[in-house]
Amino acid sequence: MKKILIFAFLLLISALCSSAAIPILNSYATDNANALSPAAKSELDKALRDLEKMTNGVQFIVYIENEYDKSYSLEEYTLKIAELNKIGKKGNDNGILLYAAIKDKVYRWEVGYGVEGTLNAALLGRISRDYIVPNFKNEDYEKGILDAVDITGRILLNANGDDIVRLKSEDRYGSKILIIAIIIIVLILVFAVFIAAKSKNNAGYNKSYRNDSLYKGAATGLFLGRGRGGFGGFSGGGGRFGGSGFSGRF
Amino acid sequence: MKKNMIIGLGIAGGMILLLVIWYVGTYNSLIRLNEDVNGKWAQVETQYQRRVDLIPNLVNTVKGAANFEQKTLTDITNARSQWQAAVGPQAKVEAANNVESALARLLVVVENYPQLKATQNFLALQDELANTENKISVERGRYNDAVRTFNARIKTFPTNIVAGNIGYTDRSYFQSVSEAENAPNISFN
Repeated sequence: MKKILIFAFLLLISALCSSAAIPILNSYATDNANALSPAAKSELDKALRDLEKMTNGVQFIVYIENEYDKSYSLEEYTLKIAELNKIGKKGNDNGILLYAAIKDKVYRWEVGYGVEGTLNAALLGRISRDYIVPNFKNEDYEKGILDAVDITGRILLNANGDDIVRLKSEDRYGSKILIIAIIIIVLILVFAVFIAAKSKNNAGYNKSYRNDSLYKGAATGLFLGRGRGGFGGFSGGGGRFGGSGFSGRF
Repeated sequence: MKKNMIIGLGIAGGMILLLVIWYVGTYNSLIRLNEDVNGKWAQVETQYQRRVDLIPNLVNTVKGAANFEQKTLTDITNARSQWQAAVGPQAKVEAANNVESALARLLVVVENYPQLKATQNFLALQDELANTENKISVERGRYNDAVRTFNARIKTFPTNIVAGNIGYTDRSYFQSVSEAENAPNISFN
């Protein structure tokens, strides 16, 4: 009996140890390797929170650390992070994890069942080679992450032909009376003027994109830099993953 | 006396009722577990099919490279037809493993063709192949987990009685070519 108890205790300890190695993520962007400036991190947080609202709940999570737990393969590890944190909405399975281990010089995209058609491996490979690898090689991790997230966000926002990432329909406001519509229009105008003035003073994140047939699915304009703020961390929705994605070294 | 007999009959009847409830519950849960194994297997086959679907495109891309080894291409095309003709899990696994080794050989040969390796078309195919490889291993792992649960369940007493009545026996695990040598030997015998 005593032996059984000791065995059970050891089992419990080992279970706790192995699960402790998988990080629990509380915000859209987590950087444990000091690869991002605070401004870039909050930019990412805002933009990714907006992405979830603008789509049918796509959860795009960025996680950067120095080294990954070598008791797993990189692919096993990122799959465990995605599953433990329940990234993506249940039923839509639209979670995305962009992972990088700076010291190990590896990165991986892990995408849920619902987005693996839109973000297929060929596309992710291309984004990685065009935006992640060259910047990471120059140790400009921030630019690599921002560029990759921006192009991916724009592709997702424009993927409304796909059932998976559909923009929220606007006819929910169809029954509102005229006055409210006018108020909204006035508000939008005020906002537009405000934002235009703001962006003149503070250019923020800016970038021009390659003109390439592979990226023709991307929405025009910037994805990053238009976040309206707001608060709240990330909380998982229970999306499922099937090991789809792309991994590479830099 | 009569009163005692009625109580006795009542107890016996109650016990039989409980037994029936238990039997039905166990029966249903075994059916569910068995279906779970089937479902997981279907997922594995879907991923295999995806990989096989990439082959014609791959062969066409590689053909373009000057005097690319013909034998490698024939091997891979044959492996693909073999997979398509295969019926039943056992034959499918075998054919899929042949596809895997033919693909591995092809990718080794491609190393000698740097220009081919650098084309966007080939890179895209390579990315997709690597991705299906990973998805296959994930789905295979989940299938094996489902088999482990099922096999353990049908052997425990008293569930094994119900399993015996349905005619359920061990479902088989399966290993890939690359794992076959160093896979953990899981056995419940």
